Amino acid sequence: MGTRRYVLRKLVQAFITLVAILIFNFFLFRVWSPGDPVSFLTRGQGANISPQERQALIEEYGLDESTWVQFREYMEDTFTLKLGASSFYQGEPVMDVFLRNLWPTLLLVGISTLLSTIIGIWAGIRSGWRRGSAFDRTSMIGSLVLYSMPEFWLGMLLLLFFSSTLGWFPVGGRISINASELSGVGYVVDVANHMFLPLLTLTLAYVGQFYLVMRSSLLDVLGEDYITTARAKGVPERRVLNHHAVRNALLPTVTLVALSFGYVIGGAITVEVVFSYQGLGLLTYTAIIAKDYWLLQGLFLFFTLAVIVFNLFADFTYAYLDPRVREA
Amino acid sequence: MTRGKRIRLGVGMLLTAALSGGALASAASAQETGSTGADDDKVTFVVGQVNDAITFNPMFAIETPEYNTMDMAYDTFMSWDLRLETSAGLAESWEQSEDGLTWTFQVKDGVTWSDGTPFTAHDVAATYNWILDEKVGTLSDYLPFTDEVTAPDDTTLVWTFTQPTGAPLYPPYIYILPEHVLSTYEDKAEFRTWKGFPDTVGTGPFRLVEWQRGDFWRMEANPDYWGGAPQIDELVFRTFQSDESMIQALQQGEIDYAYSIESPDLFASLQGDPDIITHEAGNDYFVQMSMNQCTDQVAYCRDTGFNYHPALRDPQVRLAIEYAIDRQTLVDDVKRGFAEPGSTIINQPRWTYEIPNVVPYDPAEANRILDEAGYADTDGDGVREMPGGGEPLEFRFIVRTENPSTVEAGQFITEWLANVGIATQPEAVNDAKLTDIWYSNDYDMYIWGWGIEPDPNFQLSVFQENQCGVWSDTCYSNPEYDQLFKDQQAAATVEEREQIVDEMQQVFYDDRPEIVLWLNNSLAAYRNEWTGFQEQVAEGEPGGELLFQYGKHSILTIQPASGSGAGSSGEGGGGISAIVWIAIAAVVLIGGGVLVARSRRRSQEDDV
Repeated sequence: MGTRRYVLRKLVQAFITLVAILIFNFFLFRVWSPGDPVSFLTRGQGANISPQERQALIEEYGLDESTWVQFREYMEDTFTLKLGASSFYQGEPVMDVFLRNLWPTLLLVGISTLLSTIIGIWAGIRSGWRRGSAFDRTSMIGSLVLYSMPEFWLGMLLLLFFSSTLGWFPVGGRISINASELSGVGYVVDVANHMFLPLLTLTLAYVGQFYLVMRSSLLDVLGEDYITTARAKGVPERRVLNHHAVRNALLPTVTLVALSFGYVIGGAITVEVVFSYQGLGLLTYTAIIAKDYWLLQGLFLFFTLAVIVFNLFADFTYAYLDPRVREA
Repeated sequence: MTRGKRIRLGVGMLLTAALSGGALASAASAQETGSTGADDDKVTFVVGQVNDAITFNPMFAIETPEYNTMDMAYDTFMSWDLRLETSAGLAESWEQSEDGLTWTFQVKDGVTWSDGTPFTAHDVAATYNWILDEKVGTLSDYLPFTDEVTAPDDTTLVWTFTQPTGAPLYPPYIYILPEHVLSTYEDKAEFRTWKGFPDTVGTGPFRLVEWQRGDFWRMEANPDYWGGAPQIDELVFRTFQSDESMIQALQQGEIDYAYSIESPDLFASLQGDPDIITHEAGNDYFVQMSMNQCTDQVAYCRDTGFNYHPALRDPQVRLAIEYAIDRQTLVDDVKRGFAEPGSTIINQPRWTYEIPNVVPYDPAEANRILDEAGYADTDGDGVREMPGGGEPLEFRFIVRTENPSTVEAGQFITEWLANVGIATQPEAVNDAKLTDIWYSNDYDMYIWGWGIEPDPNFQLSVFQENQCGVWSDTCYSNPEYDQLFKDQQAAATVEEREQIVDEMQQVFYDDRPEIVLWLNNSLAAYRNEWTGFQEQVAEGEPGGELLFQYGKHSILTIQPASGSGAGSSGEGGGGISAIVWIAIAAVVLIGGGVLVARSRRRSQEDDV
């Protein structure tokens, strides 16, 4: 009974958040930021266009309608998943553009989240368990440095060192220009070569937060009475750590992993731009520059949904791991 | 207890398996990369650029990379030689009738489309008529006063006009498309959805075969090109997000040619690199500072409304502003010398006019003019007011975030104008926003630029009164100028046209609706393994475009210098990274193995 009420409450909350963000997005893109898609398409040199043709374009895009009518259409289209056509890509369906750029980013964000989580948690446990050791001190400093460094800056440093100075990895791009001639294995290696530096950047940039949370949460738990009790009972140290401490200390970290997904997507935007890595991040950057409302709406719908779903996931996992949450 | 152990063991095995698989794959690929380099002697030329392409549809393309690509896939009817003079394209010969109203062309024989269909005069007629019927905005201005374009037979094209004109020799920058493809579009609006790929059918020296959107696109040479086979097998265009990453890729050998480097500092940094040859081409585009000139007499201004400082209507104020600006400093400090000071709106050496009364940098003279015109600083705040007191001379001044040079120039100009008692409020906005501001005529001054075409017709057309709200920078209106524009289009001889074009430049300069600041040089760099470039330089120009030219020149002759490893650069900077991958795999493998072993041992201890 309690569980069902809990799930329902969380779902309703998620839905309200979604609607609020969608409303906010509309005003953010269409009302509060300067320029519009037609101005971009007709900007300056290169597009000889008469005032009549410009007016026709504005009407074609429905930008002559009042803000209220535009808002209604926007909400209707969003909830019926009618994503429309991109203005920047000259009428190509938003869904096609989106799907074309989805995989490179999923791969990048997925693997880097996985790696930074594993490394962060492992190092956090080790550090917390042996507080004050050389490992703890160095990893603490390292994590703070990485945590406070902006992703694009870290990316540029890695690019300068590994690509420009050492020449080990390509300067940018998603695949080599001869990738289509490579066989299966060669192709995979080619993709990996291009993904390595963006992946390293994102992993390093996010490993710090997992480490810090895991470490402090483990330290909290280690101060609890039941740990003292376990030790007093004569439970071996390693078992105290693995069975009594870590399992409880993992709770906040699990939440953080899910929550951080949104940040990683944000980080992917700047990192993809630094490495000219064509994915959703770079696409978002393009869409913002081009004021492509329809593409932006599609992308932010996806990002919003992704963050909300991961939040729900975190809530449910948390509730599963810690029954007290359900009762609260 | 055993459950925990098995899981750990499972993860360990999985990790080990995955990593050794990766290592094997890397080793395999390392071999493979080596062998492709050896038995694949395809010559690939890779061009880097900062802009991306959106469409290769010749009727709707806008961006420079799109034009550079379509230049390779298609031909124009008339073309340009290495001196930028009009030459034959798909046309073989031509003549104008006595009354000047009819032009008759013979088209080239034996040219075929890339799908094997023979090219005929009907293709030219179909392309031109499509543009005229559909009023394709960017292209229809190339076909002025046209009455009819017909093809009486396969090799003859007849083009008639409503008034005598030399327009066909300007020449029209229109790619000829195949009639047998155009005719398949019953609904002409549907043509817009075609992105120019796949199924690109052209007569050009290259064919578009692969497009990895956002990354690169690849063109294959057409060995049967009517103008001669290219010396390279493949032409690849790679997109970068910034000048910096493009330059790094050039230095690493990932690309062979860096096209249009915007940053003068980065360009200068390449000049010491022994592997790189830098090239500075003159007169790429000019940059001007425009001043609002809307009046109620101009229809668009009247309909839309306008808002600007009244002082800018006074020619003496505009003259004083020009005296206050030091163009040489802009060239030296903003463009690091990679530009020339400007003066007139026509900058092709063939058509430019040496303005005899160019205003020099002289702030004292500027102050004198403003004093004399009655703009005095009555309240002593350092800013002059309108004659008789009142509104201070404070101008809103817009520069472009997309072009850092204009932002820097704006800072210099703001300082110089302050020296003569004019205050400006500089604001940097993006081009979309500037377009909005410009459409609503709600500005005082802004900085923007114009690309330079071989023929002056288009650039001159921009400043006619009827171009207000279309192209005109400032909604400048002068009936004398508009009449001269029509006269030059109808001029019987080139000499006569030259004279009128000179006169127009003088009229425009003296009216001073805008001040031309500098002529930007196009900066490019390439790896020294390449040779065979032919510079396209107009008579009297210091340096010209090296690769993406009017007509097909360098692109047919570039080739690897003998004995160099050029052309294999397409393999990317991946040579060493296979080894790196193996090293990484090995380290992780060993490290992982040790960890797994250790934790297994420990958990056994725990279980005791």
